[in-house]
Formats: sequence, structure tokens, C-alpha cells
Amino acid sequence: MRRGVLAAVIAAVIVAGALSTYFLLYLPSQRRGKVKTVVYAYLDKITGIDPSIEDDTGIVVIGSVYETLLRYDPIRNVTVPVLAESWESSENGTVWVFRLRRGVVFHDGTPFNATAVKLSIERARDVYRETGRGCGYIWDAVEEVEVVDDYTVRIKLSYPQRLDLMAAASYSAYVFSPSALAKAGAKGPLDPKLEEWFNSGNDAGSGPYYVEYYSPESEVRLRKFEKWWGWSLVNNPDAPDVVVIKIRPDPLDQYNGLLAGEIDIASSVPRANVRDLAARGFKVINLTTFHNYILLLNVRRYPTSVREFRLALLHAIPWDEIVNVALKGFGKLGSGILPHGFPGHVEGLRYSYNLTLAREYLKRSGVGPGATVEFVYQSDYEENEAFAQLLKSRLAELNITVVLKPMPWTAVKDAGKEVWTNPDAAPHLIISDWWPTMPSPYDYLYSLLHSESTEWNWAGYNNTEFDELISRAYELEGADYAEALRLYAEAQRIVHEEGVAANLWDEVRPFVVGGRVEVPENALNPLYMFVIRFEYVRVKE
Amino acid sequence: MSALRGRFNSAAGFLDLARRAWRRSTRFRAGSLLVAAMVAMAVLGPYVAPYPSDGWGLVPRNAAERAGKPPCPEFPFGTDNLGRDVLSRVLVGARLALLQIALVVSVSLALGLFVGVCAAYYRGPVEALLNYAAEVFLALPAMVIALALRLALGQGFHVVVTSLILSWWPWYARSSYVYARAVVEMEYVLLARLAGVPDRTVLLRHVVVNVLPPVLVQAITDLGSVLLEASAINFLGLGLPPDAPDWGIVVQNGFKYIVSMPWVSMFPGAFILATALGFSLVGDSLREEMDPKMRRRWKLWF
Amino acid sequence: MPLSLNYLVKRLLWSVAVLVGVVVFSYVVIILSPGDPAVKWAGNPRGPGAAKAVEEARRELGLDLPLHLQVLNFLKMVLTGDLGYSIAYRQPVFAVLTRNLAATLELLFAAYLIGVPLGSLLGVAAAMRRGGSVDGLLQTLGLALASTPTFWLGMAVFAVLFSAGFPAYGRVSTGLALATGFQAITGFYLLDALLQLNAPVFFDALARLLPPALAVAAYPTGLCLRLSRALVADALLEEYVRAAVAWGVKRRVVVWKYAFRAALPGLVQVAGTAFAYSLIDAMVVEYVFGREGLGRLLFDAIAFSDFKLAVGLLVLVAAFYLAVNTLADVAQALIDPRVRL
Repeated sequence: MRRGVLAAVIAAVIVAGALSTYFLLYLPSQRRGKVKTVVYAYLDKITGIDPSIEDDTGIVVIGSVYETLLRYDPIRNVTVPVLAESWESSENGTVWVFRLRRGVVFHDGTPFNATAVKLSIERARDVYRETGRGCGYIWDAVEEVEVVDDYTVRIKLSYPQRLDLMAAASYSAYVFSPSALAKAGAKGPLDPKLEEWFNSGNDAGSGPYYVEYYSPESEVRLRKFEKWWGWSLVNNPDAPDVVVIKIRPDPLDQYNGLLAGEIDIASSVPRANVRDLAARGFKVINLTTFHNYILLLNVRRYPTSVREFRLALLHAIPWDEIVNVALKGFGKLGSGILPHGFPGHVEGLRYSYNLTLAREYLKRSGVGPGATVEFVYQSDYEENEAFAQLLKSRLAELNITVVLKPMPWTAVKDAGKEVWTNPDAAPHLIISDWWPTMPSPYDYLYSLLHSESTEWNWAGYNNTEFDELISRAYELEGADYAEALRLYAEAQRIVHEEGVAANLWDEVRPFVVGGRVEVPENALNPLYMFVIRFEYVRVKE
Repeated sequence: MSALRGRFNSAAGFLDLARRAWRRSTRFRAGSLLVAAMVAMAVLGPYVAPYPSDGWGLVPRNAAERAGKPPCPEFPFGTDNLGRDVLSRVLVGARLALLQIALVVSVSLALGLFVGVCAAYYRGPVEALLNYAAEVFLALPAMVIALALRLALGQGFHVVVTSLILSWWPWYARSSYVYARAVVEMEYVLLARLAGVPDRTVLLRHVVVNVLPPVLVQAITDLGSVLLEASAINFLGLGLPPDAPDWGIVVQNGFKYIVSMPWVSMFPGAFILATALGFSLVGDSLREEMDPKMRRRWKLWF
Repeated sequence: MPLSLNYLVKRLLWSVAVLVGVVVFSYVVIILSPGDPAVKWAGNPRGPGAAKAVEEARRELGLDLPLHLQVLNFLKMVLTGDLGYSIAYRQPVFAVLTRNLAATLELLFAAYLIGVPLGSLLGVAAAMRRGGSVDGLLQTLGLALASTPTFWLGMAVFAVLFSAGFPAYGRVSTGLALATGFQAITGFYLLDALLQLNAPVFFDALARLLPPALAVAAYPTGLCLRLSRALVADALLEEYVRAAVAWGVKRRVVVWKYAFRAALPGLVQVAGTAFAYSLIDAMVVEYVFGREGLGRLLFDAIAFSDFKLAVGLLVLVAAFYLAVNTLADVAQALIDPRVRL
């Protein structure tokens, strides 16, 4: 019996040894040839990849898979050609003609033409009109899209607008192939089947990459589209063949992934660890974004309904500590409402940390000592959390208690909107982090503070003078851009004096890049947050 | 009724039991010391903390230069990413830890005892219903109940405490039920009932008095387990808000920096471990002391 | 035959009844949550078409019905294995759960394969030296292991390995999986790698599995240590053991063949219950080690106020508990001739 056991053990060892030798020696030799792969860690789940409807994180994928007619260059504040080669407006900015690039094909081989443009614009606009979804409001002024010939479209507007800026929007401005309809079995562009088809991982774009694998909560894989029209312009033989977008919600995860060699580009590592990574030889690209964090004060609930009380709060915010302590240096102190480098930004429109002044305002406000204010902010942003704790600590010096209410994004939104229906249930203070859909100050000022924008105006601010100012400015954008910017600045000054909203900081996002990969400057664009233009990325094997 | 021999049924009896345990068991002594230290911290914490306002979670004025310091004479447990002294946070946090576990265990015990004794005494549909309810909540760990409550009520003290009570009461209900069944079937209880003694008196004087001691000893051990679960719930952000002076929350604060400043998480976690161990040691030795079979001196006979 | 069909049927019916209670409880609690799931389901619409879209979504989700009908409808669905549609994932909740369950179970199995034998071994060692200082130390060790906050232990294991230059992160190396053409079939990566004879992925996945498994194993190790210590020590006092010793049976044989054999049913029973509850520990440790699995769903459910996913998780955890406990009882009956079910 003993001997039998021994024999069995020896046999097992031999089999195990043989198997592992086979595994270790034979299999690795089968490893791939040379597939240039880039793994990009992104922190949020992909909420959808319908080019006309998606208005959130899906841009990370869409930005590489689809193209717009034009692209906005924030440094020079101009629009540059993409799918349209040239464009012009006439009749005071109510008629726009786009001449389209020739020789462009969609991923399935369908040629790109004016019909695709018409279909794409109309679908985005109509979905918005019918169901309120997406960012199709950028096409709200579009009355008619006329196909002049295969490579010319003429667009008629109901009111004058900088349509070139709309065509460069980061949402709902993407052009998709008409062949998608047949593939999805959709009866028309508004058939929900089409959206379902897109969101189950199909694409109909013309961009440099196409979707190969789509699992929105964990991983999206893109593959290089060899027939993309732009490869000759980009002239980058080291462009990745495969792009893996890994959903890694936890900053620590991304940090670990970088060190483990699992991740080539990380979009959000803990701020305090960036220096450590740089010391370990990782490259850090600090992208100053248009993503900013705006503090909104509820003007419809006591005590923030009192202007002096609001100003007291705003002067007790530790402005001097925000960047150093809460952001660990990764941010730019805000001014006005609009971020730095964005059209309409006003410098020097900020409050100071001044407790004497704050006490003075507090006294004048007539709000008794020991006031309590509720503060809602998004829970999974590390810097929000740090700011909240900082704010609470400093306001304690004024004998104001801050109740912290961190919430997930959807709940923040629900709480913020409440200001219009039930202001006493809405928080006194709330942070809205915003990034623009279109490169116009109107995008921020209308959404966040216009009295009709009940979805996003979480201050409950309702000021006719302000509303008229920005509406007039928006209409002027097509005709007299400089005057429009002046009016936008004036509107921000009003908000500043009333103490309704303040841009706390503009985000400086450190992208951390591993040694195998090189991310040149033009691969990142602050308008298209988190979108990396992988066609410019170089992979060294 | 041999199962009930050696049990105490009064405060004096309990003290006697504890005294015997103290004499006989090193582990009981160690556990009592740990528990005593924990209670002392809970009472004195805010007064002895070197930086009390740090302990309550307030960010110090000179946060920028104090942030992320490793343990040193000035900050024995180091400082966190916002410059707060971790030792102060641990000291102040003891109070909330004790409050959570005391509240959870006492309420679950009362609820469970009531349910278990009623089920054993009244039998019939009451018994079936109460057993069923207990079974439903036994199948739901506190963490997932906390998830549900977190979605329904938002963050807060009430979420941790309620979810833990909901998941702990069935344990007490079940064991009180088992003990109570044994008592209810005793002749003198039957006689008392037949003699027309009111239900309430029978329940209190005979049943509860005999059921309580073993369940109470169990509860002491559970204080540690409840602390573990409460900390986990708070760590995951399902319970207390992120500025609460709680050990689980401090561990969470340090989570992102586990590699660069491990001290932020490691110290409060060690205190959770020590406290839970303290309660387990005490409870375990008391149970041994109560059970005569376990008390026998072991004789190595082979 | 110690196991009767009658018992199994009764047990199954009872489990279903308990599950019904769980479903009703979780649905009623979660439906009370603020924020309108219909708005989220409709994709946060704005503008003129919004009201209609939300109304439609409400009908689609069945939220326009009175509460008791909603609960009834949902019960019917659950009993047919349908948990509705996840708002966060826009996929059936059932599919989302099963896809992630394998990852968590893999971790849990690994932890128990380490913890139960290790704990039992130490427990027997303590029982053989009962009364001595080794016994006292081992028993305290058992208590300490069972009193360790799992999430904290996971972090400590992680930090130590990390400073040793081994960041155990995720489930498998993406680059390696892509390069070797690894496909997830069952979702148990170790098994999948074996099926595909993919050694690099197998060893990579194993190296990433062991550290979190060690953290999860602390509790079962401590539990089994204490339990086997107590049960084996009891058994060693029994007459038949004494008789065996008198007959000159070897000490090793006495301990393992008689005493441990007698302790086994109790061990199986308790380890079974612990296994069901450790699912939660595994979820937390997954979060610490950045692994995919049920743990991540917990956060998604909160982040998206995904009440369907949350209800699904509650039902899954409860069903797991019931299933494991039934299995443990059956296993106990099969091992222990005294138990008749």
C-alpha cells in the first residue's frame, strides 16, 4: 500500500513536470509577432458610444472612432479642417456652406459624403428635440441641411450662429455612416434600434481607429484603421495597432497598474503619488484642461439666499490653500466662471481669503452665529473630498458648520436640480464640474446660470439682466465676436458681485506615461477631455 | 438541566464568573486589558489627543507643510495627506467605534431575546413567523443591507447601525430560542403556567433569566465581530461620511496612499484588530469558564 | 441512506420561501431611495422631449404600478431567473452578476483551499498539545486571525508585496493575455488557462490570485483552527479513543483516523456557513487589489443609483448563502452517519 502511494506521487510529479516544461518552453515561443499595443487607463465606465446621443464618458472612445467636420484649436482660438476642407458663412451668419474632404471612407468601406453629414446632423438635432437626450441642442438653430452635391452641404439657420464652432463641438457633432441604419435594421434615424446597435459595440465612424471589442464597464479595444485618410498627414509609423482602454475607476489602481507595467498611459493617479512616479522614471504630462470646478450657492434657501452671507462664505474659502493642499499643485486657481485659455476667460475676478472681511459681511448679513450649511459634491473625486474637508475646517473658524454630503454623480445632479422644485431640500453649496460641449462662453454661462437652464443651474439663479446679457452676446458671436466677449465678461462680473458662483479651480490633469510609449503634445486637446488622439502616439517596442 | 449549570443569573454571578476567569486564564487577563484600554481611550481620547482638532477631522492651518509626514517624535503615527495627526484621529475615533458596537449589540440583543423567547413560549404561528423572519435576515450580510440602506437613505451613522442591527438580531433570536425552548419545557414553567401565573411574569422570572447569561457572553465576543463589520462598512463608504472620526474612515482616507504613506491606514487598522481581539479573548474565556466540560484540566494521557 | 428526497424537497422549498422574503425586503427598501430611476433609465433627458421620455421609461421599468404590484411582478421575474435590466450597464442584471461571480468565487475558493486545511492542521496540533503554552499561543493566533479586519489585512499584504517589488494587481496581465490569445471561457482564469494550455497566463493569474486569497483566508484559518482544536480535543476524551490507545494503535492514526474523523462533520458545517459569509470579504478584498468581480458592482450600484443591480446583488448574496448552507448540511449528512436528514 505504501509503495502504491509512492508510485502515484512520483507519477504525478513526472506528469506535472512534463506539463510545466511544455508550457514554459513551447508556449511562449508562440507569442505574437509585433502588435504595437497601448493600454490607456480611464477612470469611468463608458456610458455609451452612439455618436449622436452620447453626452458623457463615451467621448473617450468616440473621439478616436468618429470625426467631426472641424476641430477647435484652443491655443489659437480657431477651427481647423477635418472632414470639411473649407467653409464659409453668409447672410449675417445664417447660411453656412461646408465643402467636404474627398476620398474619405468609413470603417465598413462606405464612402463619406454629404448625405452622411446631413443624416448625422439631423439625427443629433432630432433626437434632442424628440427625447431631450444628447447634446443635439448645438444644432438647435439648424433649419435645413441641403445636399448641394456629394461634397458640399449648405446649412440654413433660423438665427445667426458661429456654426463652425458647433461643427467642432466635442459631443453630437460626429459624422457616422448611413450604412449603420441597414446594419441595425432600423426603420429611420430615430429608431431606438440604431442606438442599441451602436451601444452593443458597433461603430460606423471614419476615424483612425475602429471598435474591436466593447465591454463598457471594463475594457474597450480599438484597432488601427489602415484606410484612414489622415495617416499620410500624421506620418507616424509607430502609431499603435491596438489601443486598449481599461476602465480603472480607482486612482490607486492606475498607480499600481503603471508600476506593474500593465498600463501605459494613466489618466488619474493619486495626486500625491505623481512626484513619486516621476522619480521612478515615468513621464508626466500636465494638461491644463477646460474641466473646472464651479461652486454654486443656492440663492433660494436661507441663509445662502442672503447676498452678504454668500460673500462672507466666499471670503472664508481658503483660496490660498486650494491648489497647494487640496490639489497637491495640480490645478490653477479659478477666476470668474470660465477656465483659463477658454474664450471669454476674465483674469482677476476672484475673492480673497480674508476672515476680517468675511466677519464683516457675516455681521451685515444678519445671519446669526452658528449657521449650518449643506455642501454636496461628487464623492469619487479625490480633490473634491480634500477641498470639502478644507472648507469645513476653515468655515468652522467663522462658527459656520458645514455638513458634508459627498454623493455619486447622478445623485449630485438630482440634489442640484432640486433647487427649482424644492429649494429647501437642495444643498446650500454644490460643486458642479463642467467641461464644454462647444467652444463658446455661452456653453458655461447658459448652462450653469441662465434661469431657463433648470437642469444645470443649481444656484437657482434668476437674473433677467444676466440672462439678456449672455443671450445678446451669443447672438453677436457670429457678427461681432469681440463685443460678444466683452458682454460675457460683464455677465461674469455681475455673478461675481452677487456671490452666486465662483470657479474654484481649473484642473491640471497629470497624464502619466510609461517608458514604452511617447505621447506628443498634439495628442491631447483640452476641449476633448480624456480623449487621446492615438494616431499621434508612438509605441517603441 | 446540565446545559445550564454553572451559569450566572445575576450581576453578582457575572462578577464571580469574571473573577474566576481572571484567576485562571491568561487570555482573559490580556483581553480585559485590551478592552479596558479601548474604553479608556473612548472616554479620554479627545482630552489626551495631542492635536484634538485634527482628531475631529479638521485640517490644520499649516496643512501644506505638515502633510504626509512619516511617524516621528512630533507625530508618533505620522500625518495624513491633509496634514492631520493620525494619532489624534485614532484617539478621538475610539469613541465612535465604541458607540457603534455598543448600540448595535445591545439593540440586537434586546430584539433577538424578545423574538426568541416569544417564539419559544407561544409556539404555533408566532414561532413560525419569527423563525422565518430571522432566517431571511440571516441570509443577508450587513454589508449588502448597508448597500440597500445607503441607496435609500444616503450616508450616515444610522445606516451603519441599522444595517448591523438587522443582520445581527437573528443570531440572538436563534440562540435565545434554543435556550428558551429548553427552559419552557421544564416542569416548573409548565406548572407556573397552569397555576395561572401571568405570561409576562413567567417569561421574565423564569425564561429570560435563564436564557440571558449564555446569550450575554456570546454578545461580548460579538462586540469584536460587529466592530470588524462596522469598520468594513465605513471603509467602503456605505456608512459614515468621509469626515467622521472613525477608524474605518481613517483607513479609507489612507487607502489611496497605502504605498506612499502606509502609516495612515495601518495604525487605525491595528487598533481595530486589537479591540476586536480584546473582546474575543474576553468572550471566549468567559464561555470556557461557563462550560464545565471545557473547564476540565486537560490530562495528557497518551 | 442518510439523505432523503423528502428532506431535499423541503429544504428547497424553505430556501425559496426565504428568498422571497429577501426579495420583498430589498425591493421595498431600495425603491424608497431618492432620485428617479426612470430619469436615469431615460438617459438624463433635458429639453422639450424630456417629460415624455421619462414617462416612457417609467412604464418600461414598471414603476408606474402601485408598490405591491411592482413587488409581485418582480418576484415573478426573480423566480424565473430574471432580475431585470441594470441601469448602469444597460444589460440584464443576471448576466452582469454571473459574469462577475466567477472572479469572486475563484478568489473565495482559493482562500478556503488555503485556510481550511491550514487552520484544521494547526487546530489539531493545538489539540494534541492542549493545556500547554503552544496550545495557548495557537488559540490566541486563531482568535487574532478571526479578529483581523480583512480589508486592512489586504492592504497590508498589498503594501508589503509592493515594497518587495511585486505589485499584485488585477486578475491577469492584459499584455500577456492579448499576446497569448487568452480567452475567458468559464471566468475562472486559472481553469481557463489550463483548458487553453496557456502556462504564462496560468502562472500570472496564480501569482495575482494568491496575495488577495491569503488576506481572505485569514478568517477561515482562524475559525478552523479554533473549531478543530475544540472538536478534536473533545473527541480525544472519548472512550473509543482511549480504547484505541489501549489497543496500541499509533498516535498519528488515533488523532487523524478517529478524533479528526469525528470532528469533520462539525467542521464542514461551520466552514460552510463561513464560506457563504466570506463572499463579502472576497468582495472587499477585490476592491483593495483592483480585481474585477462582484466587489466592483457594489460601487457601480451606488455610483449609478442602480437599484436593480443592488437588488440583484442582495438576492445573489442571499441565494449563495442558502445554497452553500444546504450543501453544507447535505455534506455533513453524507460524512456523519449520525445525522439523518
